[in-house]
Amino acid sequence: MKKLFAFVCILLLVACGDPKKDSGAGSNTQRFSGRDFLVLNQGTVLESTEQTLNGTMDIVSVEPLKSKQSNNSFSLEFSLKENGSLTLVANSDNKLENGMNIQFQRSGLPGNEKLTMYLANSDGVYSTKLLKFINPTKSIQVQIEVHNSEKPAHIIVSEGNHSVYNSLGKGRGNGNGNFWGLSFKNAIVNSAEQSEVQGHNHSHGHSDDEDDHDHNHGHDHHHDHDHSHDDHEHDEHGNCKHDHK
Amino acid sequence: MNLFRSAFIAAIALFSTHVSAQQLDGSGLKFSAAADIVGSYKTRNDSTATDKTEVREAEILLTAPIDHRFEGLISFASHREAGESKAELHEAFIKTSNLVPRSNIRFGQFFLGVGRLNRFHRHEWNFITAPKVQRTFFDEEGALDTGLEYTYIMPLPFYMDVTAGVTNGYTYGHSHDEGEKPRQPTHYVRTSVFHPFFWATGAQTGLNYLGRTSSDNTKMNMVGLDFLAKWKEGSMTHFLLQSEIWARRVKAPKVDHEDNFGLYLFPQVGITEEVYFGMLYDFFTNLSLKNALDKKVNNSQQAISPTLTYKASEFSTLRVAYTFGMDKQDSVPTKYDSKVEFQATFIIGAHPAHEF
Repeated sequence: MKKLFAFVCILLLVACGDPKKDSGAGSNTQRFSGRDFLVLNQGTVLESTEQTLNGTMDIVSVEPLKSKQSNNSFSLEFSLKENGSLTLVANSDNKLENGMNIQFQRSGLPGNEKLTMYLANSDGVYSTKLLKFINPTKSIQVQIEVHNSEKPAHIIVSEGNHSVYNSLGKGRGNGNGNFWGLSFKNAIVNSAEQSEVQGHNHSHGHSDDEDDHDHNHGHDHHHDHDHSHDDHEHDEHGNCKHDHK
Repeated sequence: MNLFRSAFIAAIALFSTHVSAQQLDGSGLKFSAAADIVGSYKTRNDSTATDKTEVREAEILLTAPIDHRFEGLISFASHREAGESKAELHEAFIKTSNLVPRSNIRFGQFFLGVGRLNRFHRHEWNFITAPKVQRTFFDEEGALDTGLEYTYIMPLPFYMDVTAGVTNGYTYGHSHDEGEKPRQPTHYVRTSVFHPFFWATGAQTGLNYLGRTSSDNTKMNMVGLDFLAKWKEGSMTHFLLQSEIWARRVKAPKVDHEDNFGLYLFPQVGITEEVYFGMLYDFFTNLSLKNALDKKVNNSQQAISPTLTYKASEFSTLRVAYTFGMDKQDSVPTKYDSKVEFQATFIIGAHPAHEF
């Protein structure tokens, strides 16, 4: 019996592989932050190197997430120019559609700038938060967890040791794909990293929900932010929706 | 303090004073409690281990005959989530085995009768952490829902049963809301048979199917095989072999379907009557994975966990396991995991007899 057990154990040993190899990406790709991204759209691009992307672009990671129901953590370092924005799109298709969108928007006149975070799914924006304690004129480093295996997707946003947002109890929908990427406008992106995380057994402090606004169909909410996008649309109830394309 | 946490604490206070009384009143009420304490520690910096010890679960279980036809079971459990212990109703169902000949019926909230791990509470498992296929297809502990389940024992010269169940299906897996009415509720079938296997004392194989169509028309279908064989002599299990193999297809509207496949294999040898050594092998892959250039990506998530168990009795377990995991894409390692886990579980009170 012990010989049978030893034989079975030998069958279970796992071999090591070779170092990472390139994804085979072609000419429409951009190497950035240690991985290949496919460039979907680009406007004015002032700089595009392995360390910095500066301008307006939509990029999707060539390497997919492990599955549609995966849970992932994204670390972003970026800065926004006047009226600039950056959106993390998680668990989307390879066109950055049908995903969970977390957008950071700088707005306001010089000396009175504001940073607002919008959360959206394929139906549009469902939550808005004014980030009073983050200086929108400086470099921003955030960590965003998107637990798409939970229903609805559980989104947690942190800035350093400060918990910015936790969607527990107020999330909406799930992403329907296994890709992720960035859609940014008038922004400088210095780092975008992704790693898989375990499920829902995590511990996060409660965020300051003072400036949270959850969107309910049919209700007219006062939004403490300016709409400064070039294109935005309204749903059938007249509430603002944001086009992240 | 929420309703279920209050009920959980009240039940402990109330019934703990009746533990001895229930032995005298003839009602047959059995009260037991179980706890599952787990510590998980990194052995490399990028490990998924939490670097702490927690009471992963605490459960109280009450069972009793209701009358000459029916029995009842209620259990409450407290789980860790978002840094807090949350108490909730775990299972509550009425069951009968003598209403319809050769049939077991249960109605209420319960762990779905599919697979091997999904049919048993986590503190009764032979290893510490759920394999990837269990976590992905059934959630960390198991798929739980409310509905009706019927098991028929076939009139054959050998043991074979067929189980069919249908449950609400408003949610499936880990959910933070009440979900929505599905287009097709959760439904499942399992057929299991006891059979000879290489001089084993007992071996059981189950074939499983589970399906559901959510409110947004996302279809989920799973098929699986579960297997358990034991070589026993007296009270000692000299060797145990346990495995499950599952495949799942999820098809959401307007997007391509996703196929996943996973399995685990757990051989365990008895060193003494109280000490066991096992090796858990865990494998999972996304068969539909493509990169953004639409190129297929061969991928796998694998782990091995040598596990040492000390069982002074069937009511207490001490366990230590080391896990080494590796994720690969196109044969190239993309992620490693390495951690040590410790576990202590115990059951106090009058726990129902354990199944095979």
